[in-house]
Amino acid sequence: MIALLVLLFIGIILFEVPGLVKKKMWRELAAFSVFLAIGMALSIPQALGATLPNPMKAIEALFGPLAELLK
Amino acid sequence: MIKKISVLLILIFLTGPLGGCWDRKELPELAIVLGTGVDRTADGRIRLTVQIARPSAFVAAGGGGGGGGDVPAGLVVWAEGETIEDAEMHLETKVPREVYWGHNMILVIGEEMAREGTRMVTNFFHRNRQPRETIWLMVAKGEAKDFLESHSALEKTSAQAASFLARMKLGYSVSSREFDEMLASKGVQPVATRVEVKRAGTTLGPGREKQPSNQKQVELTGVAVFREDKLIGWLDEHETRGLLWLKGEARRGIIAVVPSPGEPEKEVSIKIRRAKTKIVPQYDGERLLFNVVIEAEGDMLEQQSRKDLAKPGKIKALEGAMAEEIQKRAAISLKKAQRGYGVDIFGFGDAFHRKYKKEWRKLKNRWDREFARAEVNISVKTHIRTTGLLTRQPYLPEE
Amino acid sequence: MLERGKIDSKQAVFLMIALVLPTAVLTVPSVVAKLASQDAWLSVIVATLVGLLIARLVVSLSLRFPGKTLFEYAEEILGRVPGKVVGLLYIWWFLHTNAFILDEFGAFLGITILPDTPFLVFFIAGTFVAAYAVRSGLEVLVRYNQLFLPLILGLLCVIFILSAKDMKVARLLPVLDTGLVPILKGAAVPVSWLGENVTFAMIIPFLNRPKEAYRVAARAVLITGFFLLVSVLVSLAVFGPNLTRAWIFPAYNAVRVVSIANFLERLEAAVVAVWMLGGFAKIGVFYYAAVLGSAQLLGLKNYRPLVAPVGVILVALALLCENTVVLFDFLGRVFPPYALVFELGIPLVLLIVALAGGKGGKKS
Repeated sequence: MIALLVLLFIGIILFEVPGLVKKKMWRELAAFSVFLAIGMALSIPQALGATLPNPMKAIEALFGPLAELLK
Repeated sequence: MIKKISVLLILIFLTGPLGGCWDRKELPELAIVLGTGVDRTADGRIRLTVQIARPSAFVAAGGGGGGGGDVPAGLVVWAEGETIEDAEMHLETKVPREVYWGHNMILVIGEEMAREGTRMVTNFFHRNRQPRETIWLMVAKGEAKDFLESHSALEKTSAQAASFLARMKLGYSVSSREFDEMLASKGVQPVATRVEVKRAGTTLGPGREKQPSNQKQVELTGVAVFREDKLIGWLDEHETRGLLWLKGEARRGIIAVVPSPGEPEKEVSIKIRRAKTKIVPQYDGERLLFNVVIEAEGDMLEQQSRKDLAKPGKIKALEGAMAEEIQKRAAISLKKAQRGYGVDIFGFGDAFHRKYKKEWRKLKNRWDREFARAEVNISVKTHIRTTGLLTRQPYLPEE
Repeated sequence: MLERGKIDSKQAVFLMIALVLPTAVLTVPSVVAKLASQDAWLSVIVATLVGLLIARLVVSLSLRFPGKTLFEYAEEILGRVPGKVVGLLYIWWFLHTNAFILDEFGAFLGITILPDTPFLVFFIAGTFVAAYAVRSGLEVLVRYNQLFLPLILGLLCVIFILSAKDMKVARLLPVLDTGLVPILKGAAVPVSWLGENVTFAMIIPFLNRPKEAYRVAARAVLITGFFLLVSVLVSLAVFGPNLTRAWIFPAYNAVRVVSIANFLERLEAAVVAVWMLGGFAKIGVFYYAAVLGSAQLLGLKNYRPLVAPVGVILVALALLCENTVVLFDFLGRVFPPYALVFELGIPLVLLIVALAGGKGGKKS
């Protein structure tokens, strides 16, 4: 699983980065890296079997009082 | 070049999930269930009995000479478990193929199981994706296993025979979704078709003249009456007729047998073509009254008497007799439901709910008691359209 | 300009229908019947009217800033930093909503036809197809949708007509059983779904005739509302309110009941087709909105490099949802207020500030 995921990330990097470097689109490269880092941060722990905090919980806490109206 | 390699890597990644056929199920690997029976065993477990189709017996006769013959088309297997799913798992250890529920046509619940409660049974069939919402729900007098182990002379299997009988809707047929709908509503208590195994007529053929027949066949013999999901009693075939009238489910094909005008000991048969039932509740906070208006239309298709009935006046009288007969039938079922069982199996509560929504909120939790003491007026309007191909008895001398 | 494609009004209507209908058509009857019983269909009518208002709000706002998307004019209205914050919130919302859509997509396929397949496979398949369309540009997505949406609507019409045999009008009675409050409560969920049309704010700048945007939005909301209404009516008339709210996908079960002359039956594959074809389009639009918005927020010249990383984020987010019970509980309870902040709250604030500050010229 984790090997496949690493393979996927290598694939995505090889797919996008050379073109960006050649065209000197540094800003795009930076944005790409940030998003990919977020993607890695979210996916690799899950592939390793860790449980991440679920944003649904936070949103539920935030909107919980309003949600009670829909009972 | 790098681009090509990267595309290749992504494609390799995608081939993993796309190797799609790993859980395919070919037809010859399936055990197709045609009918299911559920019984309560003496030690409180659930016994699941299934009738599985034997595909080779379904090959069209003359299609290459194979198949058919004396091989029975169905195969009955049973297993016990704590729940239906558990029993199914034990069943799988006896059947060398994967059990497939998609073509299951009937669900027969044994008498003991039905008295215990149907919820334990039907939940499996709704929660799982293979069994359909349209399977016919039946209650067997006795054990469901015996019912499924019977044989049909005309159809391939007894499960098919029972489901075709239910489909004709001569009695009261209930699909599992209709049963659950009745169960979920407080304004009506559920009923289900009652089925029994009875001795069949004997067909004699060459070489079989001397053999005594112990052929059994399936029959629909009325309905089972429930309170919530528990079986509390039965209505026989005649009472079921009244139930059909009151529920507005009387369909074409039902026969009303009425005494012939002027000759009460002779009978006339009227075949119903169309029928409609309207339930109009009236409530003033105290007195609960239901006006039931039944409209029926039919053809006179048989007479035992000698009189010429094809006269306008006689037809009028016949219509009156027909109305009286329908009224009587409905009243018998009504009395049995009100006094005998004390449950509203006709959906009077739903009709009441539709008209008096505020009052319903107060009455719904004690509806069956209210229903038992409700007054019901049954009025019947009848209409005879034709007298078949005949006018009067042809082989009688002129009067 | 990040996106050079142009779409015409008809394509825009189709896209907006695909934005809401595919997942809503199967789940809305159950969620609404839970609150409004047999009056669920009235809730849907109320929701459609509110949906029209939301669509009108979004279009009025967008037309004040011709050629600009939500992310661009948010900065113009609120100033640089607050505008960026709003933009970030919207990126999050597009991504999170899309994760829910993926979850529903997986839940339906996993429950009904492919029980042995892990949900991850559905997520990857859905995301990959959508990613391919998004990376190829708006026009490709729109044309995919133009090809399949009529098929989807046609199939829905046919299967709903075929289930007429099993319907009973009595199951819809009595009307207004428990008063107006349950109906209004029941409307909340379909409002939050129809309100997903706020994503249209990312598409309006690419209309070839922006002036028709009002008509496009109104037409799309009415058609979507109509199909939701029919779906609710069919489910109620076939099963009654008690059974409708017990199913997760009542419209799917209603189609399974169809049996014409014991011959024309088992039509649920058509529903699965609707769900698959429509699901890809729906995932695609939200995906596109998230990617284009991110690119505009960060001032990129090209949004394409972001497509693949955002896809990974989407799948990872979708995987966070533990089970279908949590998912449908969230969608029925928490999602409406959460979504309405983005669908109604923020656009309304933006419009008021823009009007107060006199920003955004009305083009004659």
